[in-house]
Amino acid sequence: MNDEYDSVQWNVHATTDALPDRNDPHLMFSPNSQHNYYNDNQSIDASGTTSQFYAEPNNGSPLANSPKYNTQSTATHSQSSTSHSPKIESVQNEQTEEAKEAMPMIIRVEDPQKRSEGTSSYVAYLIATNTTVQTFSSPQPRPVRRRFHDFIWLHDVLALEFPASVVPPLPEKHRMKYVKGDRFSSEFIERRRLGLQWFMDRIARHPYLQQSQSTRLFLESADFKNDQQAQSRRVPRVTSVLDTLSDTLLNAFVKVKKPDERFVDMKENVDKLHDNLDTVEKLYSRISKRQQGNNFSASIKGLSMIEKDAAQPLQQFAKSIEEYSIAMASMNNKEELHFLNDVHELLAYCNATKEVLHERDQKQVDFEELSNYLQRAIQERERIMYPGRNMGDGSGLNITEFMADKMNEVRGTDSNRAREERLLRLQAKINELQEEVARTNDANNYFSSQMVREFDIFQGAKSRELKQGLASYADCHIEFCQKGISIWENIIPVLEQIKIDGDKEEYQSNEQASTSTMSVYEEHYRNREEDAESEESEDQNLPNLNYYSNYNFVTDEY
Amino acid sequence: MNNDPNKHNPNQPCQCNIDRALHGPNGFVFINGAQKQSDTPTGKSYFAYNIRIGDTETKHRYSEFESLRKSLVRLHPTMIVPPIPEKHSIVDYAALQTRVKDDLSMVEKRKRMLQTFLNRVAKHPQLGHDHVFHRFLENGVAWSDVLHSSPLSDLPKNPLQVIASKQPDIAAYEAILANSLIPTPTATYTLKNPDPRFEESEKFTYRIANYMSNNLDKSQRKVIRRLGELANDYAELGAVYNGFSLNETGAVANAIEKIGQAVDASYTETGQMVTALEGEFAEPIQEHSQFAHTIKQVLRFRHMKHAQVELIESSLKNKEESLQNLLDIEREASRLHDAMTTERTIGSNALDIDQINEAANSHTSGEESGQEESPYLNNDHRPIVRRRSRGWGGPVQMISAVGHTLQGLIDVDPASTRHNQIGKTKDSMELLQKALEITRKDLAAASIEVQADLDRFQREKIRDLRDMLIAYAKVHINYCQKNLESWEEARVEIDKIPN
Repeated sequence: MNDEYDSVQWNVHATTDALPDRNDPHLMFSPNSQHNYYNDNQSIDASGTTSQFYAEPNNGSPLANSPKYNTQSTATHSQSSTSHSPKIESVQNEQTEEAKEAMPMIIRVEDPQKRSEGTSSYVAYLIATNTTVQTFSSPQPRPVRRRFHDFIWLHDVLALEFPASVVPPLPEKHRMKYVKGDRFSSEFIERRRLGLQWFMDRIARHPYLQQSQSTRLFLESADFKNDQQAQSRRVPRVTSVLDTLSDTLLNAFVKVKKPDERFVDMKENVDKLHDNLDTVEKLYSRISKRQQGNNFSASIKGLSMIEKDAAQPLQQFAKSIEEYSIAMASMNNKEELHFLNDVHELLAYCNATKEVLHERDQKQVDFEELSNYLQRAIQERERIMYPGRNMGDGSGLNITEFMADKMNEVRGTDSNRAREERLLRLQAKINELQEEVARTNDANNYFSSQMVREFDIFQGAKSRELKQGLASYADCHIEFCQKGISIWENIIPVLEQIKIDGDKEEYQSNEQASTSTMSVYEEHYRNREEDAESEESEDQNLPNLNYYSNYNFVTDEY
Repeated sequence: MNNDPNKHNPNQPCQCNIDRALHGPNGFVFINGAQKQSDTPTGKSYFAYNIRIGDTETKHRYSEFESLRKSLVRLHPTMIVPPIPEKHSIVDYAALQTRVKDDLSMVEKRKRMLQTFLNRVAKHPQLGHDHVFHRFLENGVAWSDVLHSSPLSDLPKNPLQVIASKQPDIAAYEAILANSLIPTPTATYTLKNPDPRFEESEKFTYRIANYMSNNLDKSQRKVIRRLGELANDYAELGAVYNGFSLNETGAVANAIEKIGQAVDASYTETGQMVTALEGEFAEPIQEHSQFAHTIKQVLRFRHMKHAQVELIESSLKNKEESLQNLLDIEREASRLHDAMTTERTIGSNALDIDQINEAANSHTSGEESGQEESPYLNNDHRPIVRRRSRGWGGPVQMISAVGHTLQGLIDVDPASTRHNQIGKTKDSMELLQKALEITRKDLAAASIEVQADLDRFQREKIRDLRDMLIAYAKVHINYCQKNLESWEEARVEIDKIPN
């Protein structure tokens, strides 16, 4: 039993069970005090309470029976869960089940419709769910309509219910759009719909969030308003309990003393991803600005007004340029909608993950600080019980207390009674602290183990979403390139059609220039007249290449 | 000058090796290199361009191309001589702190554009057969010698005194030209009877010239500049993706790496597109913008020729009028004379005759002195007119003026003086008639030549335009295809990311 406790106590991170290195200078507990602590624990633990300290901290032993995380069977859990409310069940679920697998779940957010409610109006989205999650009444979709407010509710309630989980972020509210009044513009609604789809996809993939009672209500409830209120009443108690666990604000600026490499790595990983995505997003907006069209096509059009000989092909060429820049613009639009949005949402998800990572660090800080405090209390007790024994430690903190002791001894005033009282007080404090330490330890362990799972989920979501985003990114480019090829390939025959009816003529001129210049002119002139005649019979649309030569030149006019 | 049998006559093909090479099957002129060389006396360095036609190789520097072009313009004022790349502008010098002459991309651009120039000249029906041009391509010819020998050294300073036409029958009137009978109109001379067809051409050319340099060239430069900036952005983005891929693992890393490669390819391709567009699109547009200015000059030349004809015409008309006056007086005088001989009894009439004579004389002399100037007075170009009068009308006028004064003073024999004047006017009219004939013929021939070359050029321009646009389209197709490939590769890699 001691071994087991050891492992729990020393393994702040719950999942790795390696025994701690006792020579580690950072050890917070001395071997002595450790034994004391756990022996005390054991006696209290005998009361046989469950580990429901989150939900009912004052009911039964406040000392969480941490090893139970690893040992408690699913059977006992399900047994106990029957007697609890759904809320408790969900909390327990997440605490007790290792690496829960996500069930297949597909949620579609579609068909946004503008609704009116009194004077205000809103957009309601149709949400259809296919899933095999058992709490759902049917694996087939039973579509419901939800508005943005409802999504916010779901997000908040999940955040309260699963403090150690990364609850996917909602799309930004875009407050400016409300002011500008284009809240109901199709573009804005489509963007939001996409954002909400991301949100639901992430929940659907999350093994805990997807099975939450709140999620089920959101996705299924026909009488959502009432169910929503009922659920809201149930959930907040969890957080109020969490809030009382320890004063996180107190330790807000204290850094983790013994950072766990796993979480350091996680944080670094997420930070890097965040930075990379951020750079991509920024660079991209610059590029898409650069790709915006210019007036080159107008220039070519203007040329077609002057060069009447090739007016039509020039106009078509100008049209091609326009088409090309339209294709480019549509690529940019699609990229923005599918890739940049993806990047943006992923960034928000990164931030959410970072918050939870921070929260976990905070739990560890709480635990470390309380442990420290406890250790000092125990040391004090030792010192009082065995005066002068720990002097060798030379701990600066104890000098004043030592002096106080000495003073008491010198005064000799009822020293024994005072000592008894002090010991009693200390013992009470130590007991209280031990409870707290155990609780924060459990909280920390719970957050840590959950964080490991969450990070896996996040990584899965990241690669899936990156895949999706990059795929549509590549698709946009592929589509654009294909369009570009076809645009330019189509114009080439038109350009090749440009008739240069002097080709043959010039050849003749070249040939004859060497013999007689005059005859060249005659020849030239004759050809021109012929051309003029033949041209009249030809299609009027064909480019007229004889701009300069449409005059009959009469030499002896003077 | 053209008909001197000892000199080269451009009418006759020179049949030199270069001419044969140029018009043979492998008649393309290559500029296959440029070397930096230094001028020993001045110590300045310059680039010499290697020119190759067939087996003949020679070297020329930019300034020699420039003088070749100038020479061709002087020899063929009615021809549209292709442009050479522009000199460096002051802006270039200011913008590029390094010495522009050393800028390799500039040398490359000049190489391309000078090669185009040589081939355009070679393909030109007249210029391609010009021996001066052949001498330029010949090996071992000192270009300065060509510049200082016939036919270039024989050309008069004033290009308007050149007989533009190469027809032999006009060349026969060389003697008259040598007397500087043909006037030089001012640059602002407005034609009285402009040729509507050439007026149209002029308008068209000005529009084209303005459009080319103000609109098309500018917007085209903007397109290329944008693409250049875009290429840099792609380079940056590619680097970001590559860095990104290093932070990821497995299939995601591979996919991002491929995306990075695709973006890098976009960078390379955009860069290549810029180069291709510079060569195949931007440079032709610049050339044609220069062409438009050359055409302006050619049309200006024809315009001046036309002005010459009109000036001679109007002088002739004045001569005719004064002759008519003289003849009228003569007729009147002889009528009076007849009357006097028949009515000798009236002595008092003798005074009347003298008065009439005097009046006639003064009238005539007034006509005489005014006749040269009147056409120009109408045009308000007195300074030039004076020069012109002195130039050819001067001596005649001076003599007649002196003669009249003497006659008026002495009045030896008003009748014979009048006869003299009539004869002189007739002589100068004959001369003017000849000059008019020559200039008319020359104008007509020049007009035909200009017209023919404009036609030829218009075809060439349309062909260039077509080639340019096709090149533009092909460059874009190539760009899209290359990008398509790299993006499709990236797409395959993305699909490998497990769900």
